[in-house]
Amino acid sequence: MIRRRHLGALLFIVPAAAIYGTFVLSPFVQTVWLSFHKWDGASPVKVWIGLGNYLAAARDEIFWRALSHNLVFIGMNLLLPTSLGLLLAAMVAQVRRGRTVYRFGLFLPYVLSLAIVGIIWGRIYDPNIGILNQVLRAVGLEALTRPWLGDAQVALVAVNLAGVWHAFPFAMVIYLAGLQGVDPSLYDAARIDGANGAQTFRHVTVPSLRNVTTLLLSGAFISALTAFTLVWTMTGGGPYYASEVISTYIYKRAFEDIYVGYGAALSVCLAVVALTATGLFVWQRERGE
Amino acid sequence: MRGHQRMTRRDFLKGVGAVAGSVAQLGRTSLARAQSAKRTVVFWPEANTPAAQKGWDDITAAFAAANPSIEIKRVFQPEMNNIIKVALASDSGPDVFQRDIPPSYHQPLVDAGLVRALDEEYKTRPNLQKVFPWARKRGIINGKSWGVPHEVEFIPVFYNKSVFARLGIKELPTKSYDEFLTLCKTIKAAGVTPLGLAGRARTQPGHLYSELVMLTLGKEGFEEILYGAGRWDQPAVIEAADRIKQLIDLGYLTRDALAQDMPAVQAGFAAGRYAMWTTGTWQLIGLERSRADNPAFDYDYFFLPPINTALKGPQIAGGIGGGFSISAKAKDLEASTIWIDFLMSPAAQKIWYEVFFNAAPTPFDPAKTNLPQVPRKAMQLIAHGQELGYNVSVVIPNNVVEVYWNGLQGIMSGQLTPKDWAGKLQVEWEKAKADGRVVKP
Repeated sequence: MIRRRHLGALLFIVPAAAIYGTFVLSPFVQTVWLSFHKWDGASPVKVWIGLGNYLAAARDEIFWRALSHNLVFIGMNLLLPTSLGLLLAAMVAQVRRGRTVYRFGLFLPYVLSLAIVGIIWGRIYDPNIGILNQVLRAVGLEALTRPWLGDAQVALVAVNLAGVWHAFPFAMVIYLAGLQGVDPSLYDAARIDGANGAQTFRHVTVPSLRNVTTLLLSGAFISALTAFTLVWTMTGGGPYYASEVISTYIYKRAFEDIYVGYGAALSVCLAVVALTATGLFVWQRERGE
Repeated sequence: MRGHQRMTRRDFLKGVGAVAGSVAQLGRTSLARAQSAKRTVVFWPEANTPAAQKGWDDITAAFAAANPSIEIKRVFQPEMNNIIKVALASDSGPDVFQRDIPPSYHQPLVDAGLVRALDEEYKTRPNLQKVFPWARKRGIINGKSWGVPHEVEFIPVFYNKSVFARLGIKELPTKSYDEFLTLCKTIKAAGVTPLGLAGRARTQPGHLYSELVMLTLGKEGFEEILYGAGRWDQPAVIEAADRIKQLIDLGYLTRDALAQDMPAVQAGFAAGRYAMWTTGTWQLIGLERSRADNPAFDYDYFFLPPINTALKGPQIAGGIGGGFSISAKAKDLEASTIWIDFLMSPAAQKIWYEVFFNAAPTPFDPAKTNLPQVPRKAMQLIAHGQELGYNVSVVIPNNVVEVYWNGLQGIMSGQLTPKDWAGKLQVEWEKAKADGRVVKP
């Protein structure tokens, strides 16, 4: 009887496992295998070089520079869209009339594809005709105008801000949903205790949304670590690697320079970093509960 | 009469049905025979703009009229560079494809045995025999020809005639590079940015550099690096990069350039925001579109004047770009060869000139084409059969291209000195040599 039940369970698992194995596990194993080879992506011969690609990555200054840029992405992605989303969610939740209009309007950036966001912000940042420099000039802040995407000092942050604009609506909507699950009696209790709005927000709203925050931060972390589209469409990683991130660098090395084995090694490094950091983050958050 | 059975309506319909069925069957059989007799060539062209589609429609229609037994199945592949290698290696590629054939693009396919050598076809096919030898030589890898060069391109300095007229500039710089700098100074003094450049598009600083390095090192000096013992960290290579830095330091080329993409620069050039633009003749089609959209805009081009006066003859950056190649596993080699040969025929070429503003390295008379003035002038230079210099990025291996393009951005943004860049190029070149990636003529 038990065996039969297991057989049934197995039957249900097999299709999903087959799809996962084919499209996730198998490519991952192949990537690991490729990372030990020197290969141009087309030649029938793959030369085994052991850990050669990993050692080259350890010495590759652009790789480390790109990784440091991912850390900037992570920092900004963890902080800005979630806090902005939380703040706006708390504000929209207070709105009595026209809440749907606000929700719809604020959610709009998220429905755009990242490639389109990149193009739009590329135009906003245009040094000559972009609205940002024009506004700065109009308000007498000409000294602040610059070629935002061509300036090595600010290109990375400029790209990131476009990402924040795209990401905060998702955080806002998830927080709004989370707010509906907060026990109203907690707010009543806070009011009776004499808490003001800021105190209620800090001591009731934020702790009640802890699980939602964990979910959003994990997602933001992964998307920051694997960021590609915005960087690719806005700067291509330039000028001179100033906005290069790991994913764009992997793409360039694997598919433009056709060092596929090296690109595979960098991908494995990225996967290890992502898995380790996400695991630690989730473990830390769950341990704190 | 009684014995004669009358045909009922049902019998009549049955009879008609039987006859119709037989006719249909006969038709199907004939069609199947005809289809099985028809040979097919799967062809992947690159561009998929409406103009390009129209051009290819015309070319395939002309081919079908001349070769009714061969059908060309066309699949546009705008992302050709990203997919062709995998497609050919996995046997899901085309029989014939259009893509750049200089070594930096083609060598990985050659080394992997994915394309077919065409030396025999060059000997036997009438239109392939007409290809200028210098252009054919540019596609030679390991002593063999692996593609048919189809686009000859060069990189001049395009200038906005309306801006020049407004600023009273009547003379173009021809004698020395200093004249060019003086021209830039005049333009800048009038409040116009002298040079436009799409630095975000990485390839663009490379176009300007190619012009400068041809004028400092020369075609032969550059070939010494490509095929001989020449080094990237030699003074002339560094000097050419220094001249880009100089243009920025003097404000003739602004750092804004690194934030610009191609459409923005083209629009800025047409609007007169930039007086000049260094790009290749592949941009003619876009410039003509700008001219059609904006009647106030007109343009022409000139070549940068000499820098190293010891160099003999004009040093024009350019060479071959796109071409046609046959897969090593082409199903019908003869039909594929007939198609490639047709693509180089005068009939197909005429469409190519007039629709794409591009010229193949074969003799032709631009006077017989219906072309606007500037494209006609460019075609005349190509029709002359004069050997061009190099557009650096198309003849060096991919890993060196990466350092080349990014390094120029580094110089423009002040993150890298020309000397450091040249050193990095040499290191990457040696790595490419060790990996067997450098040009093997």
